Parts: sequence; structure tokens; C-alpha cells
Amino acid sequence: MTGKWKSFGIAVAVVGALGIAACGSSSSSSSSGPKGNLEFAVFHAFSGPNAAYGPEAAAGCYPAIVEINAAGGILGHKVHCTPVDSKGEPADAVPAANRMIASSSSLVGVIGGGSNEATAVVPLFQQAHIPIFSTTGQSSFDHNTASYFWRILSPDSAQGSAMAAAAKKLGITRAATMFGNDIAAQGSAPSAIAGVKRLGLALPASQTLAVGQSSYRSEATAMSNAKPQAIITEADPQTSATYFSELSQVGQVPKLITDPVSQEPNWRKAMGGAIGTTLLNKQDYAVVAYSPATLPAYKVFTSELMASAKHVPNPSQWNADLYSVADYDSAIIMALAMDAAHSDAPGVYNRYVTKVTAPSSGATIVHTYAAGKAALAHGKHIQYVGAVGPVHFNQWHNAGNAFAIERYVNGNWKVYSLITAAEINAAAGF
Amino acid sequence: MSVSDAGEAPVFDSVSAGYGGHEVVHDVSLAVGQGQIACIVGPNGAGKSTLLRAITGDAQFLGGRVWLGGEEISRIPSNRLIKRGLAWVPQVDDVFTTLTVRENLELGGFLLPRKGVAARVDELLDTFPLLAGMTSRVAGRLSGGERKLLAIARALMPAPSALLLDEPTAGLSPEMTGLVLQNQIPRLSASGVAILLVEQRALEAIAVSSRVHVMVSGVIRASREAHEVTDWDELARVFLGEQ
Amino acid sequence: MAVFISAVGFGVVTAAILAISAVGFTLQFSVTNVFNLAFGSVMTLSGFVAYWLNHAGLNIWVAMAAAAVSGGLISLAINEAIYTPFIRHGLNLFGMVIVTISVAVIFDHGLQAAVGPTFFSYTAPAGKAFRFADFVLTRQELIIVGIAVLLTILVQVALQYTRVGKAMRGLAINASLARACGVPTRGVIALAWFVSGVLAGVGGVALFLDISTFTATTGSEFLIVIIAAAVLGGIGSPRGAVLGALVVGIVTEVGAAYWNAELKDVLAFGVLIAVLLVRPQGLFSRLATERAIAR
Ligand SMILES: Nc1ncnc2c1ncn2[C@@H]1O[C@H](COP(=O)(O)OP(=O)(O)OP(=O)(O)O)[C@@H](O)[C@H]1O
Ligand SMILES: [Mg+2]
Repeated sequence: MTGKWKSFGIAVAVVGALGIAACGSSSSSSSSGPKGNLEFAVFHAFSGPNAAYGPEAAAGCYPAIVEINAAGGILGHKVHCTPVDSKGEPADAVPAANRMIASSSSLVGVIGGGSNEATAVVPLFQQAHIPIFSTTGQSSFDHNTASYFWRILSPDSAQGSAMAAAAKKLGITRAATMFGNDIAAQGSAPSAIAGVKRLGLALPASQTLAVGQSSYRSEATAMSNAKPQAIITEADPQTSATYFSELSQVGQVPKLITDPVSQEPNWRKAMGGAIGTTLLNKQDYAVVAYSPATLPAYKVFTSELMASAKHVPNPSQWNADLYSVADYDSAIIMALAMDAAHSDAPGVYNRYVTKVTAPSSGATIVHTYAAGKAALAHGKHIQYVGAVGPVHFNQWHNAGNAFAIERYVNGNWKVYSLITAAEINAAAGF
Repeated sequence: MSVSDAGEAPVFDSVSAGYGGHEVVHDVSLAVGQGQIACIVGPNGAGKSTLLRAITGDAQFLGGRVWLGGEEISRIPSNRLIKRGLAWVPQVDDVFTTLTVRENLELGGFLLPRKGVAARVDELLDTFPLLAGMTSRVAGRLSGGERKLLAIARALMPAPSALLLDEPTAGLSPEMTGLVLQNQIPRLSASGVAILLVEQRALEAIAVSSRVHVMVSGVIRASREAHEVTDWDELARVFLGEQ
Repeated sequence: MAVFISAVGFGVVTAAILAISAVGFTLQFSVTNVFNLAFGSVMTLSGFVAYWLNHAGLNIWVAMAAAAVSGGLISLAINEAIYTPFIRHGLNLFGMVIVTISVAVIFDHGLQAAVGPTFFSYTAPAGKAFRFADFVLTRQELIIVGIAVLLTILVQVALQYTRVGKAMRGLAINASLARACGVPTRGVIALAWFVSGVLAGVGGVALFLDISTFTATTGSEFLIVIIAAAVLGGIGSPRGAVLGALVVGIVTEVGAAYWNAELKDVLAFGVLIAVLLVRPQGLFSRLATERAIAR
């Protein structure tokens, strides 16, 4: 349970993998005896500053294998999840990936590769012809050409594109932007500004604020004079509060198109104190990644997650985690692709990933591995609609999740409107 | 006008003083008669300033007693000394450099009744006419001599009964030295102020003093009535620590 | 032109808010020579006193007056209980800076532990807005500017013309000589701590009203700008602190209006460095610079 035992477990796993390498290289490498187990590697940081990423991804993999094994496994094989520690650093991730590729003959797919190590390791898996379902947020993979790379979730920049798309969806024609000059806010600023322009909206003001100043009166005055119908904004609570309180003094606070930061209690407390909670709740439209709790696959995920307590300590902490949910879908999609391909050979089934996820007229929509396996056994085409919703990979193997506009009503966040991956792609220029 | 009517002169009774526990002045006893001038001469580093600083709280008082008008003053906070009639002019840092000449004098009269301050400032400007023309000048911009006059004038503001002067002529021109030593100081003592004068210019100092003390290496080597000092060779030997 | 006038106007408002605290900081430093980096914590603590009173139903200006008194008392208490023993032991200037930083950390984080790492706001209507072209001033801002002008003039006049004011200035430059004049230095130093605490209290509430929300560390976060204003004006000079605050305020607002809002503090601190290059002693110079801590 403790960190110490966790790393002990990882050490055992890694040593185990090395053991397999020793055996594999001796005699039985080409043997095709009784069918062995298949492995999904959970390749993430399990130690170091980002040590939370590994367990988060494992919380997606384990529920998936519970689901798959309960349905009889893939092509007769049982499936395992094998945690491999990338340490969240290219210098450690590269040798770990190489060792894993060299040693494990039963490795059929990789769940992982976060923003820290994806650039370094994706070429290795591409070379080794092993599919990797990554959760990296880097925009450098937006036009990825590595055929074994797959990304279900949107890149970080999608937040900004979604905010621009939200403005359009709200019927706004003049949208200004105001972002803090800190790293967090600057992540979505360029894509929001580009999105506003790309969608043909007027951009009467685009401000980058030095955070933590005692006054933004000149900036607020300029914003007020620009008369936008909405301000697309992300800044820390202090900066937002000072700015908008001054804006409310020199003019009026228009609609605010905000991001998940605005759902944090601190931000609401600061902004509520600055412009009043009534005005804040009236004008605030928060754009957040959409995880549809009502989807059938999501419900399966949560129940399988609870059944994975043996490998996933305190499983309920992950049940609304978009990354865990996406990693669950990754494993199910790989399993279904193997069934569709009638092969667990990565080089073969990789081509079937889109075939089990793309929408097509005659396809049977399935939400579980069991249902998909059965439909495939009956010779049907399937479309897996996962726990994150439909997974529609484009030519660069990026799917992208939907976003929602949420409003704070009577003490709760309510979905006001959905922004589809297609609408976000329009803002992002895909 | 005086803030004190003690009207009596200081007496040092086996005073030891120093810094950080280290004794620099050993067992010094001397007295200044009312309306008289006593002077302490001695080589650099002898401990003359240290003896005065022991009273003003700027050096450590390590033993003995100092009396003023029958009251012991060795252990009282230095800001109360002026209430007993004791004023002093330190060797260095003797004026408030960021304040004007007038403000320096006003601050010198800090304990005077509010109404009397302006009149007393005018009195002193009459006594030191050189300062009268520069009352709104910042003290830090005065010449060395002007500055020393201001320091003395400031000390005289509350009309003290006793005055400690640490090298009032250091750095002054011969004319200025003459003005201070032969004019101002005798006039003060004539008005009843007891003055303890530390001086490098031994001959000039002795000429106006009633009693002379020679301090060498922290101890008083010789004490004489000023008119008795005729053997300059002996004095020079004492001065150089040869006795 | 309208933009320029409004930016200058906004700069004056910013300056007024910074000036109250900057005058307090510079006054206390010049008299005691303790470079008190816990000044921001005094601002915050008294800001919270005002917050509690304000949320108990008190008018914000009454709460501000209470913050002024408690700021004075807190400042006095910090000096008496914490700084004075160190000064008696002869800790040097730099050692004292470390002590003041420690006090700031202890106060800020202690307060944060008590109130939580979250944001607080006063209940105070900004009031009627007065509009001159682009320049908009609320009643609240007008009052703050008024208070700032009043307080800084009061401090300046008191230092210049009153007996205790002169004693304070004298003590600042030569404590030993001030004692020779009969100045009760301990009392005057205590008064300096109190007055500077009063200004920290008022300055804290004014700042927190202005930025509309604050945390347990906000005072310390803004201390750099306040010190910058004080240093720019010539540390030890209340007039200088006001002028420094005006330069910082106007440069940042004009910079934001005409140049680049992202770089407005870069501009302000650039000006600061340029001024110090030409006038190392600040805009209003003092003659003496080096001096030990006043006891
Ligand atoms: N603040 C101090 N701390 C430690 N030692 C000191 C201090 N001031 C002076 N001294 C030492 O005490 C001794 C006496 O110094 P003092 O200033 O009393 O001499 P002085 O007789 O006044 O000499 P001068 O004629 O040069 O003024 C010297 O050895 C000096 O180095
Ligand atoms: Mg001396």
C-alpha cells in the first residue's frame, strides 16, 4: 500500500521482465507451445516528481484486463498489466523502454508515455512495431506520423481551441482574450487566440497580463473600450480578481469563457469577492474536458475499477480521472483490434485500431469488450464507444475528447452545452 | 534658563572604562571645580575619549563612580544626564548632519520649555555670529570649524552647568582655535560652567585651564595646577610615557 | 491624450496605495535602521483584523481605523518582543534582516495555517464612479487617495515641524547625540515602530481593497514594490517614498496602456535601476548613509 511497497512491486516487475529476457534469448524464443499470457505495459513515471502518473494509468489498465479476462481473454490468452517505471525522464525512460522491448516476447501494447518521455520513446516503439496509446499533451504530436502512436485525449492546446469554439457556440461575434503571463495560463492562450481568428470572430482585444500586480486599471480600461461580448480568460485567482474588479468599476463585465481553473474553490472565492457571486455565476461559462458519466462504457469502467482493488489501491480516487478513463479505453481498443485482426501480433492488429473505433453505417456500436468480442465472432463490424465517448482517430492518430460548457447553478456545475471534438478541431485548424 | 539647578561640577572617583569588557581606562580620579576648566592631555589612544564616553554611555563603564552635584550619575541612562546639567560635545559625529543649523540647535533644546526655545536659539546665534548667517543650511554641509561651533552651541542650548568637550579644536584653523580656546571657553567658565576639556593642543589648553591632567595608557600620570606647570621638559617626558 | 491622462490618473491611484505603506517602511527603517521585511506581514495581519471586523458588520473605514491601531500595536510588539533582544545582543544589520525574514515567514505561514490557503475580500461597495473621459475613479478610490494624501502630509509635517519629529530625525542620524540632547530614544524608537505599524495597517487595508482579494501572504508579496518605491525615493525620506510610489505607479500604468501589459513591472523596475544608476542615493538624498542599528 505504501510507496515503499509500491516501488518494491515495480522492482519485482522489472526484475521479472529481465528474467523473461534471459529465458527468451536462450532456447524457447521461437517456440509456439501452449498459449502464454499477453502483456500491456503501463509505461509511466512510478517514481520521481510525477510518480502519480503511473498509478493513474494503472487505474485504467487493471479494470480493462478484469473486463477482458472475464470475457475469456484475447484469442484465448489471458492479459496482464505490467507497470514499467519511466521515472518521467527521457534519460531513464529510453533504457527502460529498450529493456522492455528486448525482453518481453509477450508485450503486445503500451499504455503510457506522458509529456515528459513521449518524444523520446515513441520512435523506439515505432521501430519495434508496438502500438503505444499515449496521454502526452504535447502539440508536437498533433500531426503525428508514427503509425504505432495513438492518442485518445486532446493535446493541452485543445483547451484554448475549445474555449474559442465555446465562444462561437454561445453565439458570440466579438471575443476578447485575457491571459496571465504564467506558464499555466500561457498553455492555452495561443490556441484560444488562434481559434478565435480561425472561427472568424472579431478579436477586439488580446491581453497578456503580468500576474500579481496591484492594479490593472489601464488594461481594464482598454478592455472596456474594446467592448467585447465575451472575454476568454485564464489567470490565477489574485490576478483575475484584481482585474475584473477594476473592469467592473470602469465598465461592465461581459460573458466570461473560463477553464477548469474557474471551477476551483479558490478562484471562485477570490472572483466572488471581487465582482460578487451573482454576477460571476451569471457571466461565467467554464469550458472543461467532458467525461460523460452517463455513458455505458463509463459505468462498466467504474465497476471494473472497483473490482481491481487488488492492484489499484483506493480505486475510487480514479473514477472521474480522465486519464485513467482514457487508458481503460486504450486497453479495450487494443484487445478488440486483436480480435478483429485474429492476431495478437502487434504489427498486424495495429492496422485494425481504426476499424474497431471509426463510425460507419453498418457497424454495431459496442460499449464493452465482451459485446465487441461477441459481435466480431458473428462477423460484424463494430464501433467501440468508450468510457470517454466515441474515439474517432484522424489521419494523425489523434482522436480528441469532447469538451463541455458548464455553468454554476444553485451550488452545482451543470453541463450547459457540449463542444464536440469536431468543433474543437475546427478551432484548432485540423 | 538652565534645566538643572544642581549647578555643580563633575567628580570622577577611580573610574575604569573600556569596550566589550576590555578595560582601556584604569582607575581615574579627578574633579572639576565649578566655573573652572580642567584639561586632560595625552597621546593618541591614551583613553581620553573613552573616559568621557564612559559617562555618556558610548563606552562601557567598568568601575568607580562619577558624581555630579552630590548625586551619582555613573549608571543613569545617558539621555537623563542633560537634566542634571551635564552636556557634552563628542570628538566625532558631533552634529545632526541631515538637520539644518537651526534644527540642530532646537534639538539641543529638546528639554527646554517649548516657548523658550526660539529665544534661546537667538541667544546662541548672537554668541556665535558665524552661525547666524547659515541657520537653514544642512549641518552636513558646514565646514569643519563651523560644524564644531554648531556642536558647542548645540550643547549649550540647555545652559548646562557642566560641559565635557572632546577635542573642540581638532581640525580647526589657528584663528578658529583661538576663538574657541581663548574666547568661548573662558567665557563659558566665567559664567559658572564647569568644563572638562580634552585637548591635543596641550600648550594652548593649559594656558586657559586651572588644572591639567596628563593621561597615558589609560592612567593619569600627572595632575598639576596649570600655573604650576613650568617644567615643560618634565611634561613632555610624562606625555611620552617615560616616567 | 485621453489614454495618457487616464493612465497617469490610474498611476496616481496605484501610487497612493503604495505610498501609505512605503512611507511607513521608510520612516521605520530610517529611525531604527532595521530593514524590516516583516512589514508586509504587519500589513496582512492588520488587514485581517479589518476583515474580521468588516464581516462582523463594521463599516470598512471604521475597520480600517481599527487595523491602523492594531497594525501599530503589532509592529510595536514585534520590535519589543523579538527585535530588541537581538539588537541588544549587537546583531548586525544583515543578521537583523534574516531575523525579520524569519518573523515574516512565521507570521505569514502561521496565519495561513489559521485562516487557510484561500482568498478573502472585504464587503465594501466601490461606490459611485466619477468619470473624466477614460479616467474612472470610484468613491472608494477617491477616499483612499484622500487618506494617502492626508497621512503622508501628516507624517511629513510632523517630522519637519514638531519637537518629537525633529527628535526622530535626529535619532535617525545620530542616536548617541540625540541622547545627549535628552531625547528618550527608546520611547521615540517605539513611537516610530508604532507609527510605521499604523501606516502598514492602513496601507494593507487600502491595498487589499484595491486588489479586491487577498490571502495570508499578500502583504509580503507586495512588499518588494513597496520597498522599491521607498528606495527609489531615497530610503529614509517620506517625501521620497511618495515620489517613488508615483514613479512606480505611473510608469506601470502608462507602460500597460502604451507598451505591453505583460512587461509593465519590467519597465517599472528598469526605471528603478536606471534612477539608482544616476542617483544611487535615490531621488531625495540623505547625507549620511552607513550607520548602525539604533538602540
Ligand atoms: N569603540 C571602541 N571599541 C574598542 N576599542 C576602542 C574603541 N574606541 C577606542 N578604542 C580603543 O581604546 C583606546 C583608547 O581610545 P580613545 O579614543 O579613548 O583614545 P584617545 O585618548 O581619545 O585618543 P585620541 O587622542 O586619538 O582621540 C585605543 O586603544 C582605541 O583603539
Ligand atoms: Mg579621543
